[in-house]
Formats: sequence, C-alpha cells, structure tokens
Amino acid sequence: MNFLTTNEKLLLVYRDMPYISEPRKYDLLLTPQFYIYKKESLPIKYGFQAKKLAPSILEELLGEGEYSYAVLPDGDDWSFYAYDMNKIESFLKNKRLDSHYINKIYFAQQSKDFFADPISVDDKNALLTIDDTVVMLPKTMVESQKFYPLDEDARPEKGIIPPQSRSSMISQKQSIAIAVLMSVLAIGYIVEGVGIKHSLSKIESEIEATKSKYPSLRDKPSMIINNIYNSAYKIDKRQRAIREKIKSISHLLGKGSKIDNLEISSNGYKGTISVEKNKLGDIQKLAKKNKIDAKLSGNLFSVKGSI
Amino acid sequence: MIRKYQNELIVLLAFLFLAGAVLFELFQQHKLESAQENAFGTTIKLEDTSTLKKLWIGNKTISSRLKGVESFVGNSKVKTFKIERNHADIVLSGLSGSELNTVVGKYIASTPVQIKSLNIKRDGELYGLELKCIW
Repeated sequence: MNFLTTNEKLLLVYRDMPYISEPRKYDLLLTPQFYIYKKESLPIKYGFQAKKLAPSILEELLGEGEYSYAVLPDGDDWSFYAYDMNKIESFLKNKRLDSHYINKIYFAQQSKDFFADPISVDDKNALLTIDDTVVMLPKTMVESQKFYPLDEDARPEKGIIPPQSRSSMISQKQSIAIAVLMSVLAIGYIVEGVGIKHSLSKIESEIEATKSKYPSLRDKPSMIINNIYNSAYKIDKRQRAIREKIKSISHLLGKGSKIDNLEISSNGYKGTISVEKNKLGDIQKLAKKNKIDAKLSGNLFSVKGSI
Repeated sequence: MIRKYQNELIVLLAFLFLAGAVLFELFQQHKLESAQENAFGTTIKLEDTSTLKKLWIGNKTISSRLKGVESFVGNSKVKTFKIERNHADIVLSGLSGSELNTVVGKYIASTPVQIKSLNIKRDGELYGLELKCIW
C-alpha cells in the first residue's frame, strides 16, 4: 500500500510530548502508550486471515474505545496491534496537529531491534526492548545510563495507512481510485475527441478538393455562390416551365388543328388555335389533359395562362 | 486547508479533468456534425451552381447551335438573324408546319437559351416566328 504515500518526517507520539510547532504531514511512531500489542503463533498463512482474528485475540486486553487493528508478521509469528484512532487524533489535536497531517502509522514494537539500546524519549522516559517487547519506562529504572537519540533508523519497514480521517469524507485510497477512474474516462473522451478532430480535418480537405473542381466558384464567398445559385435556379425553373408549356401546346396541334398565333414570354402565354369542327371534342380533351386553359369560340380555341 | 481536503481536491480535479474531456469531445462532435452538414451542402451547392451556371449563363455553345437555324431554314426565310455576345434576335417567315416544328422543337426548346419571347403567327399555310433570347 505504500505506493499511495511517501515517507514523511517521523514523529514519536507519547503522552508528555511537546506541542507541535510545525504543521505538516508526519509519520507517527506510536509508543506503547497508544497501542495494545500481543504476539501469537498461529497456523495462518495470510495477513488478512490473521486480521480477522485480531479482535478476539486482543479482546481481553482492550479497554473502552473504538479500536482499529493491525496485524504484521514477525518471523513465524504474528504481531497483533489494536489502537484507537479517535483517541490518537484527539490527543494530537490537543498537541496542535490536525488529523489530516497524519500520513502513516508505525508501532514502536515494529522496531524492537532499534530499541535494544535505550532510546531517550524525554528527560524522564526512555523506550527499551525488554523480553522482545518495546516498553516505555522511566530513565531511572534503566540500568544503563547511556541513552541514544531517536533517529530515522527507528522507522520500521512497513507503515499503516490510518483509518479514514474524520475531517475527510473519503479516504485517500478511495479518492485516488475515483480520480484514476475519472482520468481513464477522461482520456477515453480525449482520444475520441482527437479522433473526431482528425475526421474534421479530413472533411475540410474534402471540401477543399470539391472546391478545386470548380475553379470559377472556389474563391467566391458563400453569399455570392448562393446568389449565383439562386439566380441560375430561378432561370432553370422558368425556362423548363416555358419548354414544358411549348410541349403541352404542341400536343394540341396536328391534323385538324393549326396554330393561328402564339406568344410565349417568361411571364405567360396566349394564342389561338383553329380546329376543324369534328376535332373540337378531341382538342378540348387534350387541352384538359395537358392542363391548358383553353376557351372555345366557334372553331377557335383561345389559350392563355401564366408560366 | 488544502491539505485537510486534499482527498476531495483530488476527486474535484479529476472531475474537472473529466468534465473538460467530455466538453472537448462534445464540442468536437458538434463541430463534426456541422462540418459534415456544411460539406454536404457545399458539395451539392457547388455542383448544382456550376451545372446550372454552365447551362444557362454564358454557355459558349449557344451561338453555334442557333446558327444551325439559319442553315436549316435557308437565307430566304430569315428576316433578321442577330446574334451578339449573349443574346439573339431572330425573325423567320414562310416556314412550313414541319419546319416550324423542327425550329421550335430541335433548335429552340432543346437549346439552353433563356427565352425572353417567342411569337408564332400563321399566314395561310405558312408560319412566321420571332425569337428573342439571351444566355
């Protein structure tokens, strides 16, 4: 789990510790005043199995409190620890250190070899390993009167990530997991967006290629192209209508019917067609079929309409 | 303060990153859709404009096609035959029914000229024709 955190300054936590003047992240080295410890030899292979047994193993030793448990291998045995994070946090708060400054937790017991020689805690107390257990005792009770200072060598190999801090709604582990998930999603969206951007430039070059097919229009602004299109479209529509009308009128002409006069312009048409009497009915039908407004007067058909 | 809420801050930053990425993707998507629409519109419009323009405006083949009328009906039936840069004024007379059909059907209606006016008048069995057109 250490990949989530880095090492911070080591802070020895004991009851009579001075106030903390430098607010920053610390790795806590708890003295036995802040944890309960028991060593057990169990036929268990994995730490998570051992951790399940921790509450029952330490039960008799615990007072009132809300305990968290840690189990660490110690040779062929297991070291069981219980600690009350709330108490530790509130103690440190009294020492002017907020809980979010706690990075990792170590137990002095983990460095029992380091405490083989008495280590000075303050003027009165020292930490010393007696019978394989680290204890805190008055200096006056220590046989050797030579005390060593605490240094980085006291840092155990493995630290514990503190249980969820009360000041934060989510743990660091959770926040990193969520952040990783969101980042992966974000990268997915970015990759997709970049892909779309490539498609965009492809489309733009396709437009350019299309434009280059029409050199006379290529450099003209779209407004002018629209104007050209609109005027050409209008012409096309009207001229097709004129031709359609010529075609329709020509259907009325043939044996027995002749054009007398016809005027066609872009606005409309008008004219007269002479029809033999026996063809009047046929021409009338043809005019209707070809949607030509024809009025009969004697043997003359007057045609008139708009285009 | 920052340290106190650093976990929330990490999540917030990741969320902002995600939101930014989503917006970037949506923006590109929107741009793509309008570019596709624009590309389609541009292609169609250019093709149509070019085709229609070539057909109706400044078509260089018109003069020679209209001159075919003169050679078809013969000089004797041509009263006026003025072809200038982009407009024509043609007056024909003494056309038979079939000649009229050919002139109107083959030379006028199937040539992409803009007919301004087309007048046909019968005189006995023969026809006269006046055409004003531009291109």
